Amino acid sequence: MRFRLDIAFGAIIAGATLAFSVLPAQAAWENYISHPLSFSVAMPGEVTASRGTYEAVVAGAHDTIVFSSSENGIDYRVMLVDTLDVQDKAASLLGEAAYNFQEAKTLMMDIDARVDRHFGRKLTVELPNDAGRATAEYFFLNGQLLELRATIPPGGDYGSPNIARFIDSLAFFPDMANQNSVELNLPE
Amino acid sequence: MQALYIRILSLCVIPALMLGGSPAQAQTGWQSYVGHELGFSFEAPGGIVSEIGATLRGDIVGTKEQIVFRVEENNIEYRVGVTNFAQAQMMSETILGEALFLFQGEKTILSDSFARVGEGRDMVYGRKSTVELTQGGQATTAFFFTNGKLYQLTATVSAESGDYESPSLSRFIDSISFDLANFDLDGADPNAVELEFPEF
Repeated sequence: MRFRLDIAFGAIIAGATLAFSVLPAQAAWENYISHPLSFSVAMPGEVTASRGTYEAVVAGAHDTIVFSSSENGIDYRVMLVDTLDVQDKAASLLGEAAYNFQEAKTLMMDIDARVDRHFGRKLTVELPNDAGRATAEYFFLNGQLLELRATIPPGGDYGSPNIARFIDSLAFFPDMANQNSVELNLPE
Repeated sequence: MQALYIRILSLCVIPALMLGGSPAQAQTGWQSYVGHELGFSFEAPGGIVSEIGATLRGDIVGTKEQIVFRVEENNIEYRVGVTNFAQAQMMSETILGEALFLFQGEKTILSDSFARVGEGRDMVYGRKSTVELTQGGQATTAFFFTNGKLYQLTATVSAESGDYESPSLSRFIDSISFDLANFDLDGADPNAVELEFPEF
């Protein structure tokens, strides 16, 4: 009798080990905060920071700070565009960014989004040429256009709860951020 | 004899043509309206009236009075609201977002899409939405924010009318312009009517 229980227990352990080894590797999720940029967000794995440029017809060309990471083929990106000099056009800047995101793509969702007394837009599109799917969220805060974007490769897990985990983790009030949040280092 | 036939025929044909030529419902003439001080223009049926007092109330926008221009034709109300947010331009995306949210409320949303007016760097992005009203009928609205003002154009079709496909709706909504170059005070469009402010 004892022998049978040992076999059953061993089989369960082996099965569980096999099941976990088949699942894709899960990078650790971390809560991040940037006090100078006034936001916090949850992202997986190692987050890298870089600088770049955003350009659009109404907005013009502006410097950006980008935080990005990746997990299971899904790319997570937070982009902040310094639009302080045109912040009086905030509504059009947000509208233009959201419009450009979905232009020439199949729009699957376009709804309002609300975070800490700010209204924005949340959209999901199918990328052209079967290039996968992307969900983005846009807000305007303190002269910055903010974009959160998760890009899923073709054949990827379009239903992954991590997309919502990332998008919905955004907060602007420091009090709303996880108390153990890691401060994001700004790029050089 | 032939002249008599022609005269009788014309007596029958002319009233018939007049009857056929008149629309099923009374149509007032459409008019271009321009508000130089308010920085915009639009088209609507003639006889527009202005008033103060329609209020926008939101958690974030607070309580703000609107200048309202409105006119009704064939059971469709055309209404333009202008609200001054000169001190809050840097949060215009939230003002526009909350205004749209308040408009949609608990109603059934039939459409919610991008709206764009103008060209190039002067293009103004907004939202356009159609909802089913709780009391019956439908309302189509467009929101834009530019130069410190929130603009709302709303066409409300009553349930009695039921003319939800009327081309007048898009004629009204899509007519908004923030480029007043064609409406200069020298009279580039002499037929445009300058909007009169309501009395305070």
